[in-house]
Amino acid sequence: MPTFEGSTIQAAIQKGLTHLDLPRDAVNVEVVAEGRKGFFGIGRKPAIVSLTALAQQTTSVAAQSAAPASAPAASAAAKPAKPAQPAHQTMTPEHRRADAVALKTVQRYLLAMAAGVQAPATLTMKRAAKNHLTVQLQTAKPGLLIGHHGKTINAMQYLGQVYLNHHAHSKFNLLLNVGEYRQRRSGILARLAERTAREAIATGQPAMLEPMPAFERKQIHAHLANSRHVVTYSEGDEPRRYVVVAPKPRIS
Amino acid sequence: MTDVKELILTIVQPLVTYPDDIKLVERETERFHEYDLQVNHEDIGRIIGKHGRVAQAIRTIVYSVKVPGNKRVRLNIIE
Repeated sequence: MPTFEGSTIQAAIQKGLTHLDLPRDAVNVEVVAEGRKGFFGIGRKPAIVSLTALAQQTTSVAAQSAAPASAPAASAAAKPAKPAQPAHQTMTPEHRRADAVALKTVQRYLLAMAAGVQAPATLTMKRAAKNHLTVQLQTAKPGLLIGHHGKTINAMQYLGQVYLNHHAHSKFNLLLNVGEYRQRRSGILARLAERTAREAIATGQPAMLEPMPAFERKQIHAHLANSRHVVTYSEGDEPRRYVVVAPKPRIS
Repeated sequence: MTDVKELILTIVQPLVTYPDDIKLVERETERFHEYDLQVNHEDIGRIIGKHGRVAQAIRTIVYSVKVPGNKRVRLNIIE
């Protein structure tokens, strides 16, 4: 029995109906997984529904549990310019076209910016999940494209995101990477998290980190989430919001 | 050597609804290469963004290019 994923149950159903080309009242819907928005994107789960055409009524198999993003992502990655899957219930052909065009032109936009900062680049775009795009840039001058602590690449990522919000109908998330920069940065952030946690425990005082963009703070939070000795939270206002690592109060 | 003016247009044009209404004027002042950017009234919000985030990102990129001499680049968004 076909199952469909979406960010909400509604979205999943709509996707299924589009796929099967059936009206809503011609199918029986069974919710396989309700989906969760998660906290900071951690623990996010897509909603999964199983649709059965009423004409050939059969028992639906709900066994196909969450295998998020494997099959759909693989096929989407092969064709990055494929029209977006419906984020809302109303996904007209025009919306699809807008998405497809935006996904193509955003690549041109990013390349033009890269060339503009003297770091001509090539790029590959992948659909990592339903509405998550990852763009991998390759250039002879990664330093110019990344900037101090990723300032330039983060600005470009943000502008690319703004571009997509403006031109595409569906909501997309864009992640830009240059070479192995994000991976390297993850390692650095993980070590930083460890070091800061040790410092907080040693001094018994909360330790503050440098301001970071949201997705980097998220990595710090995630890294220390299971720590038995420290808690993390963010303070300050964007764009100078920073993570605080504090020793956990002793339970007495 | 990038033309800063061209870079600004490259960034801004695709983000606005009325690209024909963009005006970009270059001025030399004592310490800066100043670029005065004007866009259609309806596009101003888009170019500045919530809490100036878009404007800030544009400036980050524009200021990241090296210009000859010791003058700095400055991007002014004019309402």
